[in-house]
This record gives sequence, C-alpha cells and structure tokens, in this order.
Amino acid sequence: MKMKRIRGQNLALMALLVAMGLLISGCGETKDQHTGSSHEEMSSAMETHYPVSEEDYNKLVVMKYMEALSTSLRSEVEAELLADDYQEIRKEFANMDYHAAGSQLADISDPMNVAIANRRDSVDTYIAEDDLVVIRYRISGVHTGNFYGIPATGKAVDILAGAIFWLEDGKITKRWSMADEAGFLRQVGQPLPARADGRWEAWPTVLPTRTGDELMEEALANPQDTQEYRNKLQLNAWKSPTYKEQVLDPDQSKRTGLRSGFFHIVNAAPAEMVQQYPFAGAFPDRVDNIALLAAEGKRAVILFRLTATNTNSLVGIPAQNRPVSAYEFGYQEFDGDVWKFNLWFGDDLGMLLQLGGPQDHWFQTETD
Amino acid sequence: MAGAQVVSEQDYNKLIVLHYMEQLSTASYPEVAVQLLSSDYREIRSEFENMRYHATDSILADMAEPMDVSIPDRRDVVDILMAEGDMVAVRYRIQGSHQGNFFGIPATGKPIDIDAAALFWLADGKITASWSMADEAGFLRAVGQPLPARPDGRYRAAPVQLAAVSGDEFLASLMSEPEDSQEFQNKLLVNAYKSKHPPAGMLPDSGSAWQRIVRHGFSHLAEIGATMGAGDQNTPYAFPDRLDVVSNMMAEGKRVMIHFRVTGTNSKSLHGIPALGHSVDVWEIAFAEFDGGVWQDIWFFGDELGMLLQLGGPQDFWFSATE
Repeated sequence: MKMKRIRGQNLALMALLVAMGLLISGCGETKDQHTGSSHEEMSSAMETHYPVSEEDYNKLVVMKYMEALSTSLRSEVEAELLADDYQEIRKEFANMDYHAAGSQLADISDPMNVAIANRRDSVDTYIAEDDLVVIRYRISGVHTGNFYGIPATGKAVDILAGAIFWLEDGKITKRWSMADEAGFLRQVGQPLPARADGRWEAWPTVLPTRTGDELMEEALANPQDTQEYRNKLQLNAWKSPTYKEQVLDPDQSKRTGLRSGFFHIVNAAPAEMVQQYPFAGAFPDRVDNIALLAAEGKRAVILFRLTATNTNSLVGIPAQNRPVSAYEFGYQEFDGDVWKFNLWFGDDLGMLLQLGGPQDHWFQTETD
Repeated sequence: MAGAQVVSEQDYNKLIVLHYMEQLSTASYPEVAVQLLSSDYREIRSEFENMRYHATDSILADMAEPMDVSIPDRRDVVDILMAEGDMVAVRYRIQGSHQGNFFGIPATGKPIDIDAAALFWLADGKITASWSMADEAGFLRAVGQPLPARPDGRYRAAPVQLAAVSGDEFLASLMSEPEDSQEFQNKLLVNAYKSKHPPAGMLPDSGSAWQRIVRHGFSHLAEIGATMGAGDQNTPYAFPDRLDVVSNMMAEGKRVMIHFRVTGTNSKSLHGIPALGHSVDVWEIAFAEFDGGVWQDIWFFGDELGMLLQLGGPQDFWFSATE
C-alpha cells in the first residue's frame, strides 16, 4: 500500500469513496471478521486517508526506506524518498570507508550487496521529533565479499547501528549513521587491514556540538509541560557537570544498563588491564559535547562527542597523549519520570584509531 | 507543526499499534489502553495463554503476581510491523528478568529474552481485537522451571479460538480474487507451501521454496530432542496425517505473514516424546521475506507449550533438564 498525499484533491470524490467503502464493508459483516478476511478487503474502494503528524509521517518514510534498503527495490525507493539534494553526512562504516579511501584497500573492496550478500536491517527503535527521525537497528548477514579491504571470511555478522535522518516535505534530506565497526571486525576475526602508505586515521568530519551546560541552561529557560521535555532534561543533565546533581535522581539503581558505550575496547581487553587502567581513568580532562538530543514518548536519544586527551593508559593501551573526539549514541527509555534503561553505543574503532599505536591486537582477540 | 500529512489506513493502523506496543510495559499503559482500544475490544488470545489457562481457578492463579511485578523490568522490542486490510502483525521480543511469581512460578531472578508475535484488528483508528503468542516454552527454559502442577492434576492447553480453513481452500479463495502485485504473488507462494495440492509449477519440484530458514516452529523441542538423538523426529514424522489449516495471511512490501494451525494425530514420537495417539491442534505463525519474487527466508514460531500439553504425558522432564 503506497502512502498517498491528497492535498488539493476533490473532497466530494473522497466522500463518495468513503461512503462506498462503508456500504461494501456493511455487506460482508456476516462471517467471522478475524478469519480469512484480509484478502477480501475492498482495499481500493475503501481506501480512507488518515491525517497524521509530521513526525509520524516521517517515521513511516524512514520505515519504508529502511525496509527496502537491502533489497533490489533500493534504487526505486531511493528515487522516491530521497530529496534531490540528499546528503549522506556520515556512512555506517565511516572509519573503514575513510581508512580504505585512496588506497589499495578501496580498489579491492566490493559493494555492500556483494560484501554482505544477504544483509538484513532490523530496526527496533524510532524516535521522531520535528524534522528528525532517529533509529536504532541491527545489521545482520554473512561476510561474503571484500569489505573495505577485508576478504570474505564467510562469517555471520550481527551488529548494532544507529542513524539520524532529517526530512523535509516527506523526503529525506540528510542522513548520519554509525555502525558498530569494531563489532564487525571482531565478528569476522580480522584486524583493520593496513594501508600501503601506513596511515591510520579516524574519519575526521564532525557535527557541530554544544556543551551540556549550555543546552541545559537553554532548556531550563524554556520549560515545557511534556514528558518528552522532562526526559530530555534528565538525559541532558547526565552530560551537564553543573546541573547533574541538581536534576538527576541520586538513586541510579532504578536504571538498567543494556550496553556500555565503548563496549569492545573494554570487552576485548584482559580483565586485569581493565581493572588496572579503567576506562574512566584514561581521560582526566574528558568533556562530553552534545550534537543532538531528541525525545518521543518514552524514548530519548542523545548523540555526543567524548573529547579528551589520552593522558593515562586506556585498559592497557599505552597513552600517547593524543586528543580524542569520539561519537557516542545514548538510547534511553523512561517510564513516566523514571529513567529505566540506558543503551550506550560509542565509536570504538574511531577511538582506537585516534589513540594511535598498534591496532592489530584488538581485533584478533576474537570472541566466537 | 507543518501542514497535515495524510496516510493510508494501513500506515495509520501501524502507527497506532507501534504506539500501543511502546507503552505496553510502562505506567502509561492503562491510559493508552483507554485511548487506543475500542469499547468492545476483545483479547482473543493472551501472550502467555497456556500458562494463564493452566493457572486459572487453581492455587497457581492465587499466587501469581501481575506482569509489572513478575517482570518489573520488562521491555518489548518490536522488530517487524506490517499491515494489510484492517489487520496489523507484529513480531517482537519480550526481555526482562523474572522477579515475581509468574503464573505460579516463584521468582528466580533469571533474565529472559523470548520471541513473541501478535495480530491486531483495527476499525476507525482503534484496536478492536488482538491475538498474541509469547514463547512460553522459551520462558520456562530461561527460568529453568517446569510448568507447576495444579492441585487437581489437570494439564491442558488453552483451547484455540478463530476459524481456519485448509491450505487448499485458503489458496482457492485467494486465487478467486487475483491482484496484479508482487505482494499477491508472494502471498500465493507462501500459501501454496501450506497447501496439500498446490497448482502445478507454483512450488519448486525439489528442495525448499526459500533460501534460508531463520527459526524452526518447534525449535525448543527440536533442540532438546537433538540432545537425545531425536532431532529428526519432527512434526511430519510425528503426525503422518498432519494438516495445516490457515487462519490469516498478510503481505506488505517484502514480507508475508501466515497464521495457521498444525493439526494431526500423534501416532509417532515427536522429538523423543512417546506418542500417546492424542490429536493436536496447535498455533503457528510465520514471517517470510522476499526480494522481488525470490523467497529469501522464513521464520516459524509455534506454540510449543500448547503442543506439549496436547501431547499429554509427563511434562516435567522437558523443563527440568534444560537449564
């Protein structure tokens, strides 16, 4: 069923169609309406059109886009749903793409539909606010072709990803994505391959950010009586040194952590190293700057950049005093004002590349 | 807000069901239920219908605590949402931990993450009926407990609701009103797979019609059966007269949903469970995915606890040995 926009259409015709639909549906009421009836719907005659908010409309657009992404309908759906000036700000595998670009790795890599031939995208979270739709999804499939320089391993992958879509007049104008690249490398059991020129760099482009305190002051100056506002305020406060204690419930026990941000860096390190050089100790000057905050219903999402200088060892990786600026998503669920679940998802591969030093040993500690 | 956007009834219904599912395990649920359920709303089947039916009118029901106490940290993760006609189908996972008495089973503190599926029927933007099924056998395995006994010793599956017709009849009815769409073609193919006498050429002569099976309908029984060397004693083996009856089908975009029941007489062992000759009539729901006309994969999900209860005999050994 295609979405239809009927602005400016003949209302009398619409009313007639609706009346016909009622008449037809009235005739078929004698049998069990919950059985075997779906194929008998007079869908063309009955088609009624429902008004929805811009956010809900955008959600449906993104849903349709994501459903078609790994099918042969992709180009058709892209032509329909992407704006003429559509811009992909960040690719799902931005670091691997940037690392391969302009090197022999890019020459040997296959397109996505060959590299992960049976790729499926399973979206489990939609958060729409104003012109934004933020999603969380899983990319699953089998590594069947050369993926940014890594030859096919035949291994199954199932990794987390997040994306932000901006829409205008029902079309997608921009997309910013982040897939769990470190998770991919661990699941296929391969290190990031070396470039011929020996360069190791993270994808450099950044979204504008603001400090948690700044955003907090702005929000407090413009209070709204909505659950979404209150949830966003709590999430904002978590990243605001000045307002954290003032706003947040000191009882953190109500919250269930579903995933920690730089999961792979910590998970792949030996336990004694994690204990001796914990994540929290590696960046004494850490500041988290917020790129995006959005909320809908019980959900709220944040995208921020962890910025710091790596002055102490991070879980055993020798500190080289380099500046780090790594993205992290936070997907939160509230029940009323109670913050119940958090799921953090950081750019592990970007951080590893920014830390410098040898990369190999991280990705050879395969878990499967 | 910018100018009003207008969508089809099916897309509208999907948004309603998504909103409903999002609020299912929150304190806002009663409020959202009033808003989204019609005044004559009927719950045709509940998620844990066998456990509910088994506990009803016994001491088990007296001990049972409400869902927000027994799984206080419950989350529902929706991964498939599709609509056709007045129907919406959802595939989701129920996650959380078992912290209170669940239909007679005292808290174990164990984490659960089980499959579930639901069908919703809507009229005028309200939900008028729903049919749900959670993986009760998966729940019991996750908490490592058998279904507790009732004082009266009764072990019975919840009775099935909703009419269904044979795959042949369903297919004939579909073909009597053909549609010129890929979705209709995909629906025919899935229906043909549940038909005893599909039209010639519709299904491949040999091998599977699909490329990949993602989940088997009776996966717990098959998995436990395999540990006892009875992995190949599947439903066609155990029910030589097996007949699948179809209740509902739906196609949208690349997906097809089929809602059917496995019926038959248990004349041979099912995955090591001794055959007692009982007749069974058990729900199953499946989600298929296509790319164009190519059937990519299929995900089956059967009522395994209902099957075990209908087979009869001792129930305990399935759930005590599985931790």
